Amino acid sequence: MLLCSFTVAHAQIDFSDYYDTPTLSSLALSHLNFGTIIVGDTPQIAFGSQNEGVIQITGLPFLDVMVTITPITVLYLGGDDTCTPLSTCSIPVTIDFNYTNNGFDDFEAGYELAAMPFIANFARFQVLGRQTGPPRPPPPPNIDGVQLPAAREAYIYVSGSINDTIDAQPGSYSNTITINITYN
Amino acid sequence: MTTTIDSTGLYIRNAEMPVAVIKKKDINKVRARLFVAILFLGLAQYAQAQVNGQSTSGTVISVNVSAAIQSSIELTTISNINFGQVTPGMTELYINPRQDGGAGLMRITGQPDMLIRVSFLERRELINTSGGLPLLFIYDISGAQTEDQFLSERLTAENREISLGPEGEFYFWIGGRLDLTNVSFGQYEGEFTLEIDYI
Repeated sequence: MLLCSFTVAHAQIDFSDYYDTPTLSSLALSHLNFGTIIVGDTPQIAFGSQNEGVIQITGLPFLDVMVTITPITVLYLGGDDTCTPLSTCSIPVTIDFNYTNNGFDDFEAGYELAAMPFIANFARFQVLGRQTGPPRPPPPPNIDGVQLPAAREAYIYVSGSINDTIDAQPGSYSNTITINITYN
Repeated sequence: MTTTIDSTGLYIRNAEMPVAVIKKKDINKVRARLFVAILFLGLAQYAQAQVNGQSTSGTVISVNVSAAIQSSIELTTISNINFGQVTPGMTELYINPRQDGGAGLMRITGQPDMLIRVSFLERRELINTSGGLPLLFIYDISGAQTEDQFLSERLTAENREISLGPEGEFYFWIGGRLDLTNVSFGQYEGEFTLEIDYI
């Protein structure tokens, strides 16, 4: 009787290990603005609407980025997180995050294709998502004389809703979301 | 001093390299040079770590989320337009919103100094409840932050954006011009609708 054993393993090539060129930057094209709300209203800024926040990520197209979001759950009157009482100087919000990496320089064009949602305030994706068709060859090695491909843009969209304003004092409310973006 | 590289890639010092003779008093110098060499090595390693850190440390960006909460607005009709009685032979009736006591009066109550935009249809038909022909009414509106009709200003297409007063109030006087060409006996009814947009 012949016994055979097999070991199943997988390997992952992390191409970013072979590049020391950062070329990763981000830019806030717009911020999430719910506009003027009447006490008692609970507006929603949907993905793709005019008042959503848009972040542009510029990086090497074949590298993965990891995007980690420090979420917020309330807006504060005057942006003051020490205000009191919280029942009247803060309003609860739900913030949603989506991204597109379909290669459009114009973020609005990206709406034509499906955006992907963040899961638990985290997403990992290639700066330029793989197009349809078979997998492409791996990127060229980072050696002298080899020209890296041009940087491309991916976009993060910030939308959401205000959940309750019935007890809110009139005034301006705000808060800040921090987004950390790294190459994988 | 010369160096060569062998097939394994190792550096081999030339045999002609002079041998250093270290005297006792030179030991401190040697230690000092050794220390400097180690320091440079450490800096080189640190610099390399910084380069790698740049490629993985990435970027941080902030997104602002904002909203402006306004208190709700109430629009109250204080008095309706009163044309009085129409006598035979009259072809037109005009109620001056800034001077005529028969002008209608409406009040907006909201947040002090709040900016709003008002709009209304300038032409409406008054319906004869007895079935006669309708009458055309062209509205003429004036407004003020206090309840003082004579100080009110006429609302034109250019000044539809107004600010509530320090007490959070704004008053509208509703007048207009009524065409009596087709008037007949009976009662006429119509309504005036004022729309308010928050700015």
